[in-house]
Amino acid sequence: MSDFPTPYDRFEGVVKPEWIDPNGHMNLAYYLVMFDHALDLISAEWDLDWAYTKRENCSPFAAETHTLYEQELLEGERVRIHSWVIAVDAKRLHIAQEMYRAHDMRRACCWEAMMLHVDLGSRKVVPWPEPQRSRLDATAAAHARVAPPDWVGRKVGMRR
Amino acid sequence: MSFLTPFVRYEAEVLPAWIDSNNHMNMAYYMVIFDLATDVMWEEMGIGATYKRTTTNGTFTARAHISYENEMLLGERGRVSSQIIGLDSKRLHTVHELFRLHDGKRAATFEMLSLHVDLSIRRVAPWPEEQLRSLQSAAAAHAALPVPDWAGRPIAIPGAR
Repeated sequence: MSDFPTPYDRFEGVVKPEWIDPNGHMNLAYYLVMFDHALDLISAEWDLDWAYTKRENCSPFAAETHTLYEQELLEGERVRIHSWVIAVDAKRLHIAQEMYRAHDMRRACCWEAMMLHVDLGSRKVVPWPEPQRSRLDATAAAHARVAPPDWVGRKVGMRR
Repeated sequence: MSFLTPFVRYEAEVLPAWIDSNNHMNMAYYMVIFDLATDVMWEEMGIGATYKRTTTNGTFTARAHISYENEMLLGERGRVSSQIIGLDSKRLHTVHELFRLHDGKRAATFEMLSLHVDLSIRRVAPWPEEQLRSLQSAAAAHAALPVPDWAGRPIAIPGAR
């Protein structure tokens, strides 16, 4: 899987009318909905998407998400999302994604998440199975050949 | 002005539209709950819906960090507890916890950096005097609370690049 796109850039989405809030722009929560959909798409490449969940009764759960909002998105705007695997271990996946407005390719949002592999029967965290783990490692290795986005690993805070 | 310390006013119920294929509230809707909780707190501090309706100003979120600790199922109720941990001329830094009502377990923590925005030009602008005083008073009340140890943490797998 050395030809895995770096970053993975196949997700495109559109801002829906019901996602607009009283500020006239996409509400902050729906950036997460779009990043979640983009995560579904890259997860299919590893056989870790909904088909996997139905078959194996296991699923990645988000343990943490950190979102940096940079630009407003208006109703009907098209976006593209780029995804990087930052790190993988036995049970976890650290992933970073950037959302771009399609019309000017200006970055609208940065997002990183820690995903855990969960057995839906016991609701406990369990190791990634094979061959999924090897696929995650291969993507991580492909993505490690370029520098990760410089905003990854930042804290929320008020730098003065 | 006495300000509720911590600010605990908002309760939510998990709606059917918020449930995902894992049969629990999708990660995005924790953000919806925290956003609705801040609407209530913001209104109390004079920077909420009324302020937005009567001026051309409002607040935008710059950063948001959620740690998911427990699942929320359809129809479950939760209560949000909120605390101010930072304030300057244009920004407000808050932390929030969501607790499940039926067992008191914490479902998520949330840390947020908000900006005061002039909505007519979509640019960050200083808080007006009246709003700043109100925020300072609320922040002073909350200064009696310890800053939670989970605030200000980055996301990382220790030892990874």
